[in-house]
Amino acid sequence: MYRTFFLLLIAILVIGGMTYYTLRFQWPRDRGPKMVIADGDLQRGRLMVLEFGCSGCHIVASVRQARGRVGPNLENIREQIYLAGILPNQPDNMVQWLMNPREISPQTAMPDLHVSEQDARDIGAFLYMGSRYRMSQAADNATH
Amino acid sequence: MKPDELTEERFTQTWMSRPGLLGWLAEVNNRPLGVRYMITSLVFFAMAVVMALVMRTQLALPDNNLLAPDTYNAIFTMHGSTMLYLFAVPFVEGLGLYLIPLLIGARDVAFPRLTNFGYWMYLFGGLIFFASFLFGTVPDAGWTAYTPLSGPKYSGPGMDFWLLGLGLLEIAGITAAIEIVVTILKFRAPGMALANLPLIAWTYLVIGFMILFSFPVLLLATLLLELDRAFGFQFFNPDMGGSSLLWQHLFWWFGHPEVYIIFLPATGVISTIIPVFARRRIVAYPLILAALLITGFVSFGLWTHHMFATGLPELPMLFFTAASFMVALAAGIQIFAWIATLWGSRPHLGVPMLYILAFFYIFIQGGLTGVMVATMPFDWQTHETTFVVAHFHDVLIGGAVLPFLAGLHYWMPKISGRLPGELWDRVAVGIIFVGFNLTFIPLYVAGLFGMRPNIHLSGRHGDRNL
Amino acid sequence: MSMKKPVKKTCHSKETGQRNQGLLSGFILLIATLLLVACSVERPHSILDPAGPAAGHIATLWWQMFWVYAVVFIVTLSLLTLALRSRRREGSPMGSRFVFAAGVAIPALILVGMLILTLQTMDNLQATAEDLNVKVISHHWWFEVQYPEQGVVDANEIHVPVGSMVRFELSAAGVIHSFWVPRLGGKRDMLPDYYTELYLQADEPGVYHGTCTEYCAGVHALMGFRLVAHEPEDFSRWLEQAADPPPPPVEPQLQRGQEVFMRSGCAGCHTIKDVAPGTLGPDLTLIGGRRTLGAGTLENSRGNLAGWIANAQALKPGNEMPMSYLEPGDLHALVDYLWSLQ
Repeated sequence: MYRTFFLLLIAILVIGGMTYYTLRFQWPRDRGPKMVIADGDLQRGRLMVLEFGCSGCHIVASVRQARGRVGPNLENIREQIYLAGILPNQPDNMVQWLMNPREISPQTAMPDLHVSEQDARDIGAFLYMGSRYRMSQAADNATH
Repeated sequence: MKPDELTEERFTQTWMSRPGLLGWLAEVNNRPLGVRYMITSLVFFAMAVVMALVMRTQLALPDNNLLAPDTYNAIFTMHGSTMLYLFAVPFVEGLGLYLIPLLIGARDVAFPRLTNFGYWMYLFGGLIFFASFLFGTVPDAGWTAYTPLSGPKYSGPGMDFWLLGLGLLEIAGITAAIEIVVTILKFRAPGMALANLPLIAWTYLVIGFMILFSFPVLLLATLLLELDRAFGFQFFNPDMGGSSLLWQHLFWWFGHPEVYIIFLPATGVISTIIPVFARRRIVAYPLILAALLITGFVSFGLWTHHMFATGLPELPMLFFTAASFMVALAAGIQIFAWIATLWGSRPHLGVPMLYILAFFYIFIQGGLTGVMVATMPFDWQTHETTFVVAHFHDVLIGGAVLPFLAGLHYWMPKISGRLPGELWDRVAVGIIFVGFNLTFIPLYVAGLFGMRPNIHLSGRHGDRNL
Repeated sequence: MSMKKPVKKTCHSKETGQRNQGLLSGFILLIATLLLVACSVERPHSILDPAGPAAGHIATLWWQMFWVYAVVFIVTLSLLTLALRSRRREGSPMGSRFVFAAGVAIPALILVGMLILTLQTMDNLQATAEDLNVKVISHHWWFEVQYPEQGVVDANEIHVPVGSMVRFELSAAGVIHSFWVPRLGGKRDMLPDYYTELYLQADEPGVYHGTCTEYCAGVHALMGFRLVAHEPEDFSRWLEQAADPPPPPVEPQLQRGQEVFMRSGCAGCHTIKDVAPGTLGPDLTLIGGRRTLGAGTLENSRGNLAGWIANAQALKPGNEMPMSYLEPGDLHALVDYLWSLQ
């Protein structure tokens, strides 16, 4: 009986180790610059995403109802190099794009929704968090 | 007087089943066939449980995307259909085939080759159901398959698999019912008067008649629907003079007795086990018998309580409320007879008895919420909400599955020739009891908050991803 | 499997105690969850938060039934517990008389009482005259709403005045659906071959959620509507405005939008009063002021409207509206035009 237990333990350790070693390379650490938008309220940003109707056209991380397939998937937007194919992906450009898409790219299908600067900061900060939003909320709840 | 070796040899040769695959296919003895029915039904049960787990995983998170809408719809259709048509009734049939001849002193059931035929009908009916997965068109009109949704205009070929499979299953059920009724009425040993029948045998006699009056109606309904779908008949097509409600009437004329067909043998199992574990005769046998007969008869007068929201005239429908109350009374007689039997008996709390104690809690809860939903104005709010889903799972799992498990534990040593271990079985009862209540009591609450069943997304309209 | 020793007698009363504790704690769980319902926060779809007389009567009936049947439940399980704990004796002290009294006589009295309460509730639910007639026709996954006396056609949103009894004439164009506003009253199926009727009244202004409550395959989960109850003056104003056809667009952007609507196939399915005749999809005359899109699938905002027009399939898979690959400029104009149809 002990022999079975011991063999099972060894098997779990071996398979667990192999799995860990393999998957460690599956999800490499983020190597890009940190995309941070100063004074962007993450929770408010998430609410803005729903209120403005971004979810109608885009898939957005941490917003389950957002299943739109009109524009690109925004889940890992922080890893992208260009926004909308024409703007280098930087925090300031993100805010500008959200405020006036049709001014920057007249042929874009993304409508002008009269997003204020503060709204754009909040939304941008939220989008840059991506799928790490829920973990950051959990961390916030733990520390407060 | 022990027979001599030669006689014993000849006897064994005559009555032994043929060996090998051919022998297995040609088996007619009720005991192996009863076991075969029960094992097959438990396999289907496991498949339906897996489907239920997949459904709950989809609903665990709001706006989840594990299953596409059509996939979810197919899975809940198959879950309900498998549980009711492929597990519950066949299990009842299998248990009956095994036990009844033993209980009444007969050597086998009335028509042994018919038993064999019935089993193949059942197996192939179930395989046809599941063959729909292989063809990529799984039925998705719900286990009740209301028209016109299940008709040719709005449903794909999956429904044909459903209808054909169900046809075979109905035939299997009818053959089993014929067996049961004829065996009990004509094959009792001398001295086994009907008044001396064990209560479980009475339950089988009652459901035998119930099946004979209800299953042919479903067979007819499925035939009519298949004629609509395959040959362009218009029974259920309102555009051409057919009726959409006709299906509901026909279906529920079958559907309501169906659930009592599942429940009454479970009460028979309880009426068998309690006297044994309490070491006493059952109390009030005549009253219980009256309850069985009343239930069997009155259950045919309840079907419209599934249709309270369809706009039928209110006064006649209130009669169905009153009739549903009457059936609750009949169930109550049995409950109190069992309590009376247990009074002061200090029963041995073996595993079957523990299942029965769990049954008392869960079934009474379900029975009382059943009386609530039978109340028509309240049903107008709770019809097609998870309140009703929680109710029927209470009465089906509490009122049928738990007694079946009790019966399995009780009779397994007879069937297999071995005694069970006790510890893990007791742990299992506890896990099932706690897990069941954790699963379904929140559904009552969710139903009161407006959550509907048969939806592939939770998190909207009253659902709190429970 | 080896033979195990039978369970010792000393364990058995502990088992009974545990079982009874289990029963008790299970029951407490049930009561606690249901009590949470009573002192609950606002729940917009709860049948226990009535906002109209019909739902109110049914909620009252629910609480009556709950308390009566809770007592029955406790008494029955207590009898079971007493039976299990009672001192050991040879034969049962309870005979057919007990079974009859407890199983037939007393429950019959209780059930007759409940039946009387039921009949009283049914009586209270009888509607007399109606103040407003609304026809609702259900389609695959959306609701067509007509106000026949006022000549207004809308979709997926129903406006009523507070305190008025509204008679809904319900039917279906296709499969069976069902019409339900939980906070206002019971549901009624919508059948393709018969009209059914439902009387509802809202006593407080607000927006009430409604759904289709009969499985209709596909995205049945996403088929819902809103019922908006206005103060009577607001309702008259809304009705007047809704009855007028929309004024022809003046701004070039809106004109372009209307032109896009006509030439891109939208007019083939959708009606806009005095503009387009389509009947396969919802009437869009009042789309700008509607609270939801896609029959309750999404909140109505300009962003969501653009997303819906471009790819309704992603948001409500399998519904009858196809994807549209409009030029971006056309899409913007169309959204602005529809948004202006209040």
